[in-house]
Amino acid sequence: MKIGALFSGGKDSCLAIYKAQKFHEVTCLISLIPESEESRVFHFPNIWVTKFQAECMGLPIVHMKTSDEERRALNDLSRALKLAVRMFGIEGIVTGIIKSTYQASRVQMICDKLNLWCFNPLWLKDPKDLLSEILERNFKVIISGVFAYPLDKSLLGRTIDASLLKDLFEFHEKYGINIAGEGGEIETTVLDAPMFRKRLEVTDYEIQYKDNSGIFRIKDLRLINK
Amino acid sequence: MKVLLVSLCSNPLSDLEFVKPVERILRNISVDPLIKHHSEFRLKDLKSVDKVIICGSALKDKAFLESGSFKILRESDKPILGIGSGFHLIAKIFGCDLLDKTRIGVFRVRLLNKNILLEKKYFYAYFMTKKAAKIIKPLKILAKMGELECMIKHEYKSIYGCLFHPEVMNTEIILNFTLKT
Repeated sequence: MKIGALFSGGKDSCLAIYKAQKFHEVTCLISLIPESEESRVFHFPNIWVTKFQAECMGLPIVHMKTSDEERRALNDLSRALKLAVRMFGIEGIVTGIIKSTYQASRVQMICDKLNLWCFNPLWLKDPKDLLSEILERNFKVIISGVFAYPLDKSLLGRTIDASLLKDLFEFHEKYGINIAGEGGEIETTVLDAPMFRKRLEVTDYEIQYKDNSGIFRIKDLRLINK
Repeated sequence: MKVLLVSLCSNPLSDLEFVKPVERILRNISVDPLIKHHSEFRLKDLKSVDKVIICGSALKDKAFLESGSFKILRESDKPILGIGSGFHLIAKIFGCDLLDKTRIGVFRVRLLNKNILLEKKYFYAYFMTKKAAKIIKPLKILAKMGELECMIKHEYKSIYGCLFHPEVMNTEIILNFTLKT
């Protein structure tokens, strides 16, 4: 089956694609670009990088600007999916949703209306197992946003490795932080993954941090053959 | 204890969404389930386990409703729990008509009859279904969401159905089914 992937550029959507490719042909990525950082529905930091991640995977990408207002944002998602159906003949989508019934139910409703299959291969996956799998499968993932105490500036731009996992597990135990980041505590950007034909290297960035909230903003990057 | 998880998914990618989460809940209580796709489900499988959980499937999955292999459940005395599409299947096996009714999201459920799976009078549950059932005997209604019959039990046997997905917000239902029936 030809499917499209709802793609934010973070670890969850990349891992979902990796799993989906074992069973289906992922023929395109679909990214929604929020008007501002207030979007409840879609991932924001470094969303422009998705264009280059798509190139690394050798896949076309459907980009669509989207409103911060929920109903309009969901209409925008519906329009983006219709476009992907027309352009690439997809019969379904794959998402990286883990636990959010808010997100899952809205995406399921849209797929139902459009008669599309909806696959959520990370659904209810334990956050520790998810992060461990990211490491085992050699994904290169950096922290591109932190939005909760005690996650601080030092985490921004750090690659998720065994040592960072240990810290994140501790934050989870002590402060109840959702280490998979689906509650919006952490945002990530994937620079390399098993299905990438090229990898990304960040060549310029800036860090913005204030009041337990910060972004590692990628300003420039290059693609490197693997 | 031997528990059989039956997959109704026509697509293996959906197993990660509908079977794997139930498997994890069981593994957390040291139960190592046997997993079978419905097309491979046979009488010998039923005989070899203590309990059966029929897991849910994607909204677009319908093929399982045509499978004849589930008729053996009608005569079984083993505890059975049907989730989502598994609810549809149990309702169909016992002669209930399935109706087109789409409910997706979190809804409040009202318990009508005491049972060992759940004690709360009201609770929230995650629904993802395109069908409901008109429940008739020998099934009885345990809970409703609005006017929708969403939790059922066989009058005499430990055969249960949840139209919602307990693995999402009501894991105690799966635990109580596994440990208490």
